[in-house]
Amino acid sequence: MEQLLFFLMAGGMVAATLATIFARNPVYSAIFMILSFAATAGLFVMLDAYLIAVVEVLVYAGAIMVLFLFVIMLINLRSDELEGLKVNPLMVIAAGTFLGLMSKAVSDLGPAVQSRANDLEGTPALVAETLFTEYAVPFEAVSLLLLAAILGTVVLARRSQDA
Amino acid sequence: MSLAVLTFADDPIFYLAANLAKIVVFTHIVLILSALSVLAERKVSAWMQDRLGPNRVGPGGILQPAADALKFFFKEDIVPGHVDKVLYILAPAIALMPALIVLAVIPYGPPLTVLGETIPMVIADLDIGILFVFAISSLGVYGIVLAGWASNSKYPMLGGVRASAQMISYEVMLGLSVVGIFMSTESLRLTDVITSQVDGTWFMFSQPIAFIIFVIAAFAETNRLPFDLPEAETELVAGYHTEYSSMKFAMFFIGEYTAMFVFSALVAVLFLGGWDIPFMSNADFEALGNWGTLLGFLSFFVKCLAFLFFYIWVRWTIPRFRFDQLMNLGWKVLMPIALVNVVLTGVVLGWLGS
Repeated sequence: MEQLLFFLMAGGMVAATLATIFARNPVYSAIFMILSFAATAGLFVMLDAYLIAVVEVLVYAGAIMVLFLFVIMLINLRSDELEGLKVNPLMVIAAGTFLGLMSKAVSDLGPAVQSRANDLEGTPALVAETLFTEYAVPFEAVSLLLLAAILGTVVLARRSQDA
Repeated sequence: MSLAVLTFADDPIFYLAANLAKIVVFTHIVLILSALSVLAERKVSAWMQDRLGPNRVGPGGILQPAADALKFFFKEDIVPGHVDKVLYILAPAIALMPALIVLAVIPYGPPLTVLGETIPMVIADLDIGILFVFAISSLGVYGIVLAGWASNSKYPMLGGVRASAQMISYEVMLGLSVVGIFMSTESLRLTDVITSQVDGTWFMFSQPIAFIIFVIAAFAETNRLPFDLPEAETELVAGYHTEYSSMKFAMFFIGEYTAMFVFSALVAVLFLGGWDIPFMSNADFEALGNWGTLLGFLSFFVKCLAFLFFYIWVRWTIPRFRFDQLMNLGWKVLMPIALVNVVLTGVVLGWLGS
């Protein structure tokens, strides 16, 4: 039963992600991406990490993808405008580097993650405790970074308005 | 790997039967109530405007929802030629689904005892209860946005764009407003929120700011007047469902009224004490046994129906907001107040705790 669920979720995730890349229509891409997030959330549920699963749906599927769709709808790209995208060698290098780094990171982490999966209890209390005690400084640093990003977008938006 | 979702109780068949019964009973109660609330909407609006309202079908017009449903089934189901077919057909289902899923975590009453086993009157008592509600109900916007986009026509498109901006904004207030409640209950589980209110005060009184913000945001999230901008009929014909007919249109309607019920239930759970009856404690409910469950169940539904009536009352009383007013109210008024409320709650709790 567990294996069946796992392959259902994992298979769904991979299929939805592939569909995101290969869909011709940006709106369909966005929808497949939401499906892929839902499948990821399902995998987190199977690890008993309910909080992470819910945050995955709440933040990515519920908020960020709505903004994606919002922008896609506002720009309203027609399919003929999309044909102009040329493959740039820089893109290939960037994607390749990212893939290499990620696979290195995952293979380094591999056994460690698997052995810890059992004690990963994603209860809100536990997550909050580790965030605000052990990882308080990195947590605040990340919030500062996000604040800087927000201010940056506001500044950029203002500048283009004045010009 | 332990999979808590699939761990059955000692008696798997009993567990399965109890859960299936709960799913069937609660879903049907809510769906019937949402059908009746359409009738209630027409009746209440009629009384408020000194008319009679629908009174031809059944005694006092009580069977009007059945007549409406029949009419929807027999209408021609038109799929306009210019739409994106797949999404056009999927959108009404996507609009209805989240509202139905959220019903799973709402506690309808105190636990029921059958054959010596205690059955909680909630389909899934998650320890992340409220986050689950927000996560799933935030998906409700896709139905509207996709309907607007797939219709491939100007007014639905505008309705869809408005809906996405509005619902994203007001989700933030919805989430922020309830932070104070969970700071004082120290649990995200909805049944814990209720039991703490049964023995203490209702959060409507101890968190009045949160209550007002939550109610305003609930109106915006369900696209009801004064915030029904995605379908504003005087500006956008019918907004996102302009191109829809027959049962597809009806599904948007059922989705809207089910979402209204869900938010009424949430208001009852979070702010009005859930199944609590004034001057009764958790021990009283336990002492009464299954009669306590019945009382709690009734009290919960009375609160839900009262808030549903409030929804309708407001709709026929207050005029619609303009879109910039809606955004200003959300981001520049409600959001700072909600943040101040969180800080205030923290200060008060810290002061009481030390």
